[in-house]
Amino acid sequence: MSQHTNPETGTQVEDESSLDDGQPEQQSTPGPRREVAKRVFAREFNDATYEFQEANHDRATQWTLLPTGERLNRIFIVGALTEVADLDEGPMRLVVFDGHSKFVVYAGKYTPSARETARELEPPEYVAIVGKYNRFAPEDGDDIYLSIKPESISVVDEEVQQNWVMKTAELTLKRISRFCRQESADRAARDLDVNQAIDQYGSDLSPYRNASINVLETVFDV
Amino acid sequence: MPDFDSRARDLMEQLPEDSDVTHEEIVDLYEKCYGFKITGNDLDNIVQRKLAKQTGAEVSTGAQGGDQHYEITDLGANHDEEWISLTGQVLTIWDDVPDGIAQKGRIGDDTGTIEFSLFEKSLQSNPSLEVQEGKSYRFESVVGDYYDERIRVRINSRSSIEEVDRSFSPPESDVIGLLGVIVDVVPPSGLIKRCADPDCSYVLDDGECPDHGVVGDHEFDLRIKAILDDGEEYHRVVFPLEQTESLTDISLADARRLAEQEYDHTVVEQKVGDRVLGRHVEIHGRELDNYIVVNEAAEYSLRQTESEATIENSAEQLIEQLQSVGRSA
Repeated sequence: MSQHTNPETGTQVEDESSLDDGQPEQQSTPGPRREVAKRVFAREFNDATYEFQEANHDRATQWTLLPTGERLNRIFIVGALTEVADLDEGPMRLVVFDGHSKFVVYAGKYTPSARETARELEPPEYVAIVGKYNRFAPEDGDDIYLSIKPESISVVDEEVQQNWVMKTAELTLKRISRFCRQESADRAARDLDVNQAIDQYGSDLSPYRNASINVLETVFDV
Repeated sequence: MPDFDSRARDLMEQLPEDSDVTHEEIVDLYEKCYGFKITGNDLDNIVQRKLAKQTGAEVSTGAQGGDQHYEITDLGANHDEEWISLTGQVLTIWDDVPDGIAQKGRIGDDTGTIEFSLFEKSLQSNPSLEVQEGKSYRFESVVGDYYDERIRVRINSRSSIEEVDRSFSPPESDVIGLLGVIVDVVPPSGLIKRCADPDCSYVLDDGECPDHGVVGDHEFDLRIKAILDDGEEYHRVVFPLEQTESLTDISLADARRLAEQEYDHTVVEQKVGDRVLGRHVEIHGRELDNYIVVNEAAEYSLRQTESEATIENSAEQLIEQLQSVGRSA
């Protein structure tokens, strides 16, 4: 786990609109802070392997960094359930297809109500899942696996899934466009999360761009 | 800077006529302390102690009830650290308050609303400062507190609070429209019990009212407290009875029947959660402290808003934009 400096400081970008669409997350009302549920397609989410914390204490929020330069803690997905497996003595494993790639979801004993819902599911079915990211790096390999720990799972209809695809494509476009604007600026003037994304993953966003296009084509049949 | 001039005048009047302290000296002392970022009670205490030492006279600002009386709408940045008085109704007292705070909530008069806070320390030294939700009071010698571009008032140990027999109707705030996904249902939601006292509508926690203790009598209500999240920001919203019924297709009567069958009224929270979690909803409501209270709610439907062709068109436009983004530069 690495430390990451505060992105609220020292970010100056010439284009004002590029500043307001990033972090820290907007909170309209007072009360305990919570993390916004990000909308991300599976292709991008599964690549978000760089994890960081802002403050050096156990309770500080953990983030994983999306290749498009935005941080994620909570995620909201809607997709087609393709697999449900009750792992021995372990969590329920769900696979959710977004039209291009797959999200893996583990509903364990710490989320009993999500787990109970998962137990009753049988593919195919559209499901909406709110949850936190989970990162798993086996000791005997270089691969890192991203999955979702659900807070809630619900069965939805096709229209809810189409809403989600539209919104997720819009927000992915917004992130890519912000990334591109930032990338053309001096390094010192960029958002720190964008710099970190460039360092960790490089600047080629075409896989995410193409995946988004592919999801739209598949889901809306255009 | 606060109005030290009027405070100095106030103090001068209380000093013996033969004292050689001047108005300017008092103002200077105030400004000097203020320069050290000392504010509020501490500031007045320093000045008063110093004057007492110099003249032997017991003097104090504020507590004589001579502060200017304001309507809430007239309060602003220039009342920071000012002693003020106002008359209004306690609209809400919040459940969650930071350590060290005894009460925090919102007061309203016919012109507006303002947040107030009362520190534990002040309440301990003056137990008569405690206020009750729904009641109206004349608040004397409270102190303006301006930060985050908002004015608030602090009740302090020298304030005096007297109940008055009238009610207020603050102007309603603007209607807010939002579209998002219900990503969380916050307890207590579903079937809840409220205190049956007509002046109190607190939600009972395990049969206990925060104001009236264990109460035998209660009234059932159905509501959803939820987090509405659009992927970029989130809002705390509360759906009252009518909106909960229409959104979930569960009526208050259904909810009570369900709770009776299961001998457990929390099953309703689970049930309404199942109905609304993950749903796109469009709401209109008004901001009330921590929450937006929903007046109208409808499940958002892409297909009802747009024709099939328009939806395809939007999808195609998004594809084009995704293809071209960053490539023209």
